[in-house]
Amino acid sequence: MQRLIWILMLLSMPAFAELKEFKLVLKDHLFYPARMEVPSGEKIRLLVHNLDGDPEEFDSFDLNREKVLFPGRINVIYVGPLAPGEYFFFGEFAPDTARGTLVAVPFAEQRL
Amino acid sequence: MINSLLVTINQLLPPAVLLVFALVLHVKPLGRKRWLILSLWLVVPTLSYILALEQISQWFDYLGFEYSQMLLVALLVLAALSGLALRLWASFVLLLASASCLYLSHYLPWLLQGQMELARALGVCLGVGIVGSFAILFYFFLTWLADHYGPWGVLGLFSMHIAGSMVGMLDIAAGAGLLTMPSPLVDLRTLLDEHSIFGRLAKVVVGYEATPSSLSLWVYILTLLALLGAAKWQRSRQECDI
Repeated sequence: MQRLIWILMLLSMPAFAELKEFKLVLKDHLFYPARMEVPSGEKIRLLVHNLDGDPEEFDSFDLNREKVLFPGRINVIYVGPLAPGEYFFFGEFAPDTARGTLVAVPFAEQRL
Repeated sequence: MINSLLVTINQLLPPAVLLVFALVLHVKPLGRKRWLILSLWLVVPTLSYILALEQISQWFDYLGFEYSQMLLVALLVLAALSGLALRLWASFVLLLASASCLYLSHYLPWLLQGQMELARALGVCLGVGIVGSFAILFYFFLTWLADHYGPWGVLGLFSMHIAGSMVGMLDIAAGAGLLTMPSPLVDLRTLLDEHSIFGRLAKVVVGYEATPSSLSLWVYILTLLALLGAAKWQRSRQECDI
């Protein structure tokens, strides 16, 4: 079984190459930054570091993603390629506070 | 309280529905010994998996969680296929054990965190009550369906439920960067949004998606055909034996 997982990983290596990485932090049930620009039209790697002592679930209907964020751990979510626009995400266990938006913009328009 | 109620309903509905399907399809009554074996197979792997999940999530460049979830979905589908084709007790146990690991891995870490305040405890109790009531009603509905229209209605619904889980594996694979989901073929959100109450129910019971892509549609149809084919093969074999 471990061999199968390694094969899967090796197969997916080309897909992971040269992906832009974006960092999100969850602290006190709030996402930082709460609004983040990402390039449209390409796959990106989202690194979410949960600094809280509790688990959270990253949830997004717009991005079609759902992932448990374990306390004190780094979590990776691959997103896109996204069409230009706004994509809302939230923490299912604290939906009133843990909220954020990814704003997909064409690379030329992106603020560096 | 409302949030813990919603979280509980959201997270416990899929395993409850699967448990009802399994109990209705597993025609032989379960004796005390089998209930004990089943309970052990549900509790021990689920707790072990959940306790190890924090570590697992950091493996394979932080994608251990996704890989383990995909493995669990594969086991679930395999158990459903072998259960329909061969009617094995082991398939029944594997189906419930993999489903319990898969679905409770999101819920139990949240439930076991920190101190349980009164509001959260109330929400959880209410949620468990609502899910339990739905499961009982669903059980009666499935037995009524089987009594009045034969086994194929229940088999069809069960196969659609498992096919929906297989489509869920595609979303997990996309989240792990293993594949890129094609654009949706149709958008049925104006008709029935999968995040509305009835949409969620339809998603849990028959794997409804409001914006299916060609890939998810193909995976759904092929899994459905494989499961129904396995059930048909088992029935024809049974008729030959008679």
